[in-house]
Order: sequence, then structure tokens, then C-alpha cells
Amino acid sequence: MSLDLLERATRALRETTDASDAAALDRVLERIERPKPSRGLSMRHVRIVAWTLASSLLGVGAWANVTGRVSWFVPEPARAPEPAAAAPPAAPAPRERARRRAPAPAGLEQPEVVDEPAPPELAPEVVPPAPVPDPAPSEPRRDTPKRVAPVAPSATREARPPARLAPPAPDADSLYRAAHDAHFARADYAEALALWDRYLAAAEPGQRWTIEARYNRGIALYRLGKNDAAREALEPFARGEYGSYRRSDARRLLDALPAPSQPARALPSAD
Amino acid sequence: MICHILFDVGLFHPKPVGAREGASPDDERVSRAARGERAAFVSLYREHFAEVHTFAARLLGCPMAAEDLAHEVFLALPQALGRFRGQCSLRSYLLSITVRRARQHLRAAQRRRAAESRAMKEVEATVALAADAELARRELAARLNRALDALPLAQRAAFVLCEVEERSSAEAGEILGEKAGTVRNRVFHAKRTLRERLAELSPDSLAGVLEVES
Repeated sequence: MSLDLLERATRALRETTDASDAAALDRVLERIERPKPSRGLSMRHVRIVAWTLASSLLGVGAWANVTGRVSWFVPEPARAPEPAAAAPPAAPAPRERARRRAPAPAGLEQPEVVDEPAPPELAPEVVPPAPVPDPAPSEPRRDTPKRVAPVAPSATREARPPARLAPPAPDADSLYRAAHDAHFARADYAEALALWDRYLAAAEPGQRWTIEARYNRGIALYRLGKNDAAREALEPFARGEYGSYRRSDARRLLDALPAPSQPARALPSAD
Repeated sequence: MICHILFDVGLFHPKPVGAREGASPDDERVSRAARGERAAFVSLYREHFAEVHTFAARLLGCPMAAEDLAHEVFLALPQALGRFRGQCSLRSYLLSITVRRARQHLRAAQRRRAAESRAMKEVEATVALAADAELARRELAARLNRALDALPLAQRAAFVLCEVEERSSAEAGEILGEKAGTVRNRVFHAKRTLRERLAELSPDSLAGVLEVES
């Protein structure tokens, strides 16, 4: 063997592919002279692509709707600012007064945030009685004014059920004002609790300020040292049953409460 | 190196070494074909198709892919003639188009070869030891084609032009748009790789082929 393997293979390749394939020439000539089919997209292809896109969009839309992510791309209705956010700062005097009248229950560490919400429309006195050592940026209503101008219903609170927009009955209104006055102006939590209960009994389930009243009732119970009742009242807020409304505040309050097994504390103000 | 990469991606158009000054015999037919004269085009086609087809078959190692490639080259020819300035012979120009358009066909041929190789593994030994010299030669050519698959297209084209088609490095350089020295360098590296690859491809059965061949 004088030639190496590569040279033999090269020769074999040269000999097995020669130019004598006349049939191939005829075939190619025939193909060249045949009109070439258009490479453009046919309507069938366009339809397939369109159906695929449409079904994908429908699927994504259905999924987003079911999982609640539809808000990503559906513009929400005009978001109302937090009621307290639109309110001017509260006067310092009632805050100090409330703090003096309602000290934190003994043995119970005061939570960082103890805000009672106040409806801007019906409750003019919106004074958070608790000290606010660590204000969160998302809680601008801490410095709520004593008197605020009525706010349009659409600008009151985010994600409020439509039923709550119904105007409250007159007696419920007056009950709310009285409860609010007792709670925030006079810091008489026992009276405020009774009035909150009366308001909630008088108000219709979907009435405007019932959620705020429930939260304020929980705060009143907390101030009175009724831990179990306060926990029961605040837990729905902490669980998010009312959306994000006062959720973090309720959690902080619940964390500050002693465990349910511990004996109830003495009532700080009722004693 | 940059020219090599551009050539591989088909962006580098060959600049023939030593462009021709005089009129080539193809000039008149080329200009007529470029103007769209069918008779001139068919004449060029009939004259050059065999060479393009053979080169494509050797470059791709697959008769079917070679036919497709040759077809594609001549389909592109009317437009390509509009850019042809007579810098080189029409034959070299056609072969340079063939090399530029070979990449896609080469991939298809390589896939087909790999699939056939897997399918034929069981009967490989039988074929290799066949007494028929023609079968053995075809087997050897097939092995070289599989080994060529390991080379980059530029090296593969240089090897096929210089070693299989026995063209000079200057002519291969004209087709590939490279200097003769570059072509020789590529052929050198291609041969080294091919020797290694051929040795790796089941030496026992290759020995059988050589025995039949000798």
C-alpha cells in the first residue's frame, strides 16, 4: 500500500462523484423551468397564526381573570385616596388628651400603631388616640384633622363595596357621630364601645361606615383590656377579610395582645 | 481570521486574486443572460451545471443535497450575474456561489449521514468486508464524507477543491476569495484532522476496505 488511507479515501470520493449524471441535469433543468411556488404566507398560514394568537390571548385572559391578576392590564376605576390621606393633620391637643385618658393596659406593651379610622364624611373628629412612634409611610392618616370637609364617596376608600355607598339612615348617622365623639374626643372607650355596638346594630350590613365602626369597636375593646373580644374583633381585619384595610395595624395589635390562654388584664380605664 | 468567519457566515464575497483584464469566452453569454435572455442562460446552465453539481456532491457528500444545491445556485444565477463584473471566470464564480450557499445543505446532509450511520451500524462490517471493490470504494468515500463533517466549511471547501478536485491553490483561492497560501494552510489543517478522524472510524473495518482495495 503506497497510498495512505486519506489519499485512498480522497480518490474514492473523487471517483464515486463524477459529472456524468446527465439525468440530474435534466431534473434540475425541469425544476428551474417550472414556475416556482410563492414563498409568501398563504391565507391558511395566516389563519393558523391568528387562531393560535387568539386562543393564547383568551387563555391568558381567562387565567388572569380566575386568578385575580386581571388588574394587571385592566385599568382600575379611579382610585380613591385613603380617607385620612386627604385629611389635614390632627390637632395635637386631643391626641395628648386621649393618650392621657387611655394609657396602655398594664402588662401589655403598647403596639406601635393604634389608629382608629374615622370616616371623613360623617365623623369629623378623627383623632388617633394611640402614640405613633414609628409611622409607616403608607399610613398617612395618622395625623387626621379634627374637622375635615366632606369627601366625595368615590374618593373615600379603596375597594369599597358598592353597597356601602348607600347613604346611612339618620339615626345611624347620629349614633356614629356620638360613638366617634366618645371614642376620639372624650376617649371614653366604654361609652364608645356601647355606641359602636348600637351603631352596628342600627346600621344596615352594607352601610357606609360599618367597617370603620367594627375596627373602632375592636380598638375600644383593646383599650378596655378586653383581649379576647378585641382579638375576635380585630382578627378579620388581620386576616384580610376587608382587604388591605387596617390589615397591618390589626396584625400589630394582635401581636401586642397576650396569648389567649393568659388571664384577662384589668380594664385600664373602666377600673 | 475575520475573513474566515465572514466567509463561514456567507458575508464575505470572494475577491478573486488576479482579476482578469481581458474578455472571457463567457462574457457575451453572461451579459445576455444577465439581460434575461433565456437562450443564453440555458446555454450557460448546460455548460456549467455538471461541474457545479459534481463539486456540490463532493463538498456535501450527498447526491440529493448536491442536486438541491446545484439547483439553488442556478436559480440564483440570473440575479448573481447582475453583480458579476468578470473579475474571475464564470466557473469560479459559480463555484464560489456554491460554497456560499452550501452551509444549509451541508447541515441537512450531515444530519442525514448521521442518521444513516446509526441505522447502518449493524451491517457495517458486512459491507466493509465485501469482496466487491466498488462497494469498498463507496464505503471508503462515505467514511471520508463522515470525516469531512468534522471540518469547518472553509477547510472542507479548500480540501475538496484542492485534493478531491485537484485544483491548484491559486484557483481554489480565486473561488474561495482567499490567497493561495491561506488555502494551502487550510488544506494542511484539514488533512491532519481527516487523518485523525479516519483512524478513529473503526480501524478494523477500514483495514478490510484497504485489503479489498489493494
